[in-house]
Amino acid sequence: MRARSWFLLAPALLLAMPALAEADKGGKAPPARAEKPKDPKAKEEKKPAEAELGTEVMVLHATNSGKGIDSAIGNMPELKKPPFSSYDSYALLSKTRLPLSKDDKTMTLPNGRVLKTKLLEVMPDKQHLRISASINQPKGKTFLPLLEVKAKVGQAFIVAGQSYKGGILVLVIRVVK
Amino acid sequence: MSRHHDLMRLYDGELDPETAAELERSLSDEDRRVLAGLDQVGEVVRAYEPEGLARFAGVADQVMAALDEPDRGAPRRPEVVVELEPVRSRPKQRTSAPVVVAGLVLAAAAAVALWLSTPAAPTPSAAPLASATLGPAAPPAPITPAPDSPAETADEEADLAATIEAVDFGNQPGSIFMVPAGEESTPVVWLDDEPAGARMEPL
Repeated sequence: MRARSWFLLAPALLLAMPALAEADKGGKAPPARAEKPKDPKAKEEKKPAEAELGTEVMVLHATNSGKGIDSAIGNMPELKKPPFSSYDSYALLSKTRLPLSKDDKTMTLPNGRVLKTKLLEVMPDKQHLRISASINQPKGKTFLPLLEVKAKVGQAFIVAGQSYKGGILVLVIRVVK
Repeated sequence: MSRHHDLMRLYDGELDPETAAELERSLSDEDRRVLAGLDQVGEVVRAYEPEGLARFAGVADQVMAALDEPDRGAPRRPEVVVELEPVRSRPKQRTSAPVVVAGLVLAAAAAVALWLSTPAAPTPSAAPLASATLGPAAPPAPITPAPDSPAETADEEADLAATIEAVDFGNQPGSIFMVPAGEESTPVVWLDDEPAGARMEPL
């Protein structure tokens, strides 16, 4: 009888060994649970960081009018690469800073459509952000319903292709502080 | 009524005298052969009837006799010998049950300890450009070539450039691609926008 019971206990003890080993290593509690008390502080730190963040929206008009690239645009090597190089002229129509927040921030584009940006979340590393953008038609139709981008300060993404006055609009959206 | 049925009733004497006389007058050769066949069948049945009845009666008598004498079958029941050994085996089960329970508890504790010690699994993040929902007629988006080690290079790319995590182009086609800009790359969302008036809009 006792020999049998040892045969039954042996596998259980073998299963329990890793747990005992982990306990010896000093793992008091899982890291996810240990971080829970830090959450309120993290929220407090987020608020000022979010308040500083914003998006800089450069609206460029790409045409083949032979005028070259507007010097006000600055250094943008992308414009010399295809498919942007198929247009020889880029004019800066506007440069707008939109604050990034959990609420929608909008700006009207030259073609009447409305660009909407929104901060989705600040990543745990506090360097990267997830932001969303969308473009709506004047009559309420959605032209670009959803665009979600992960970027950090200084990085940009481009939304291009909307037809406008014999050319296209190129929106250069950059995360700025 | 069929002719054959009438003949059977005639043979069995079930018809009234007038109908029987009329039927006998109208008997054909075929009808007479049928009646002769019935005669032969009757003879065969009568020849075997006493033996079959006697056999059936014998079975019935045996059953009735068995019912009348209930104690007669009792000695034929097989004797069941109950041995005492199974009684000895019961204590064995009782003693092994706590051991099994203890083993299960230990195993469960080990599993819980292992589960708590492993770090929380990272939430699956959409790969850059992979989760883009293209429009109905969207051309294939030119995507950067697949890296050798996805995890490391994805992190590096995330540092070097913004990543597009999701796109919904709506009704018009569009594409996503990266344009090199020096050491970095810039993600581009290209919308195929037709000039005003070029597209037929529904009323």
